[in-house]
Amino acid sequence: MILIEKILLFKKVPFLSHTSPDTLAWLAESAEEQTVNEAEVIFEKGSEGEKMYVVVEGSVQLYNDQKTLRSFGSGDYFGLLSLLDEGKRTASAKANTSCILLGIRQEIFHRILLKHPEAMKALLSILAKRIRGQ
Amino acid sequence: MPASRKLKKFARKELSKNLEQAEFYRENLSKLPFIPKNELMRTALDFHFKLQVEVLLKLLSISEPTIDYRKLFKVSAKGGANAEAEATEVLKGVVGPTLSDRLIALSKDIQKPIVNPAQVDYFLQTFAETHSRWILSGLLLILTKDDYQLHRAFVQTCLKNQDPVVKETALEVFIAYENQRGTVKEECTALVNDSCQGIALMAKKALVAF
Repeated sequence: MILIEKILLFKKVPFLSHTSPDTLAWLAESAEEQTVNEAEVIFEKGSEGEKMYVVVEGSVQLYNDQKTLRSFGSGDYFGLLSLLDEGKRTASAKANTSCILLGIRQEIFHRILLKHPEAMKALLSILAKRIRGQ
Repeated sequence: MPASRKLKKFARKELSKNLEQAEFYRENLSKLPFIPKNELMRTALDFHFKLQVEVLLKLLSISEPTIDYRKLFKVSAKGGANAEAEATEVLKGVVGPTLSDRLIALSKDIQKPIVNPAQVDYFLQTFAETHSRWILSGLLLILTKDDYQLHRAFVQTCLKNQDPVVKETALEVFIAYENQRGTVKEECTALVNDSCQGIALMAKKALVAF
């Protein structure tokens, strides 16, 4: 996957959509590309949240006690909450199909939010909407 | 002449120059359809447009520092006809009627869908000489296979670009569209040891496919 493709993918992430191409390029260079096989567990409930993920290809399922909470496809992101509160994962994630993911480490994620207030503002807005929707 | 007057005079002069640049990027954005292959080009033009707007906001603050211009433009864009008229009046007092109308026009969203789209040739003629790596990469991605045959020289030039982002994007387009496989093989062989890991990897992958 070339850098430009990663940039365009990150641009689809709502809280990054107004971030400059230079920042997205830095993020794209820092992101870790990961291939996951079908049914492979990406993280388990209760584990440390080290990364958030953006789905490049394939489908991912977020589940808790065998119950599916949500599914994610290309351009979606998951695993965000643990990066924000540094808490344990509240659900498990596994690949529904073989997948390609881009992982963003916590320190990279924090740096983006600290350096780019527009990303922080957009993220807060997303979280507020989620709380209102609960 | 006192320093503040000199600075204001300078700001005024720069304002028209930057306004023209902002209008240039905005005008080109309004000619580029909202389709996936144009996404990077749209992002690049929008990025440069916003950079010019940021400079404009700074220059306006030099002319009259008591006004919150960011807020003024926001209100003008979202607040309806009355808000727009009020914002225009405020700006008129700072930069005069002509420039104020042009500045307010910048705050408006671009209409969807694009009414008068320009062709790929137009964008290549307009931007092929730019130094912006994002615009060059955007230009490469708007090319279709048919466009490539007409603009092969542009892709070749980008393959020699010092910027790894431009070079990598050019290599992807080149591998996908170049009909003369011998030429692709030759280029990829030359790039397998490129200092950019992404470029070297792409070249190696292409060679394996031969």
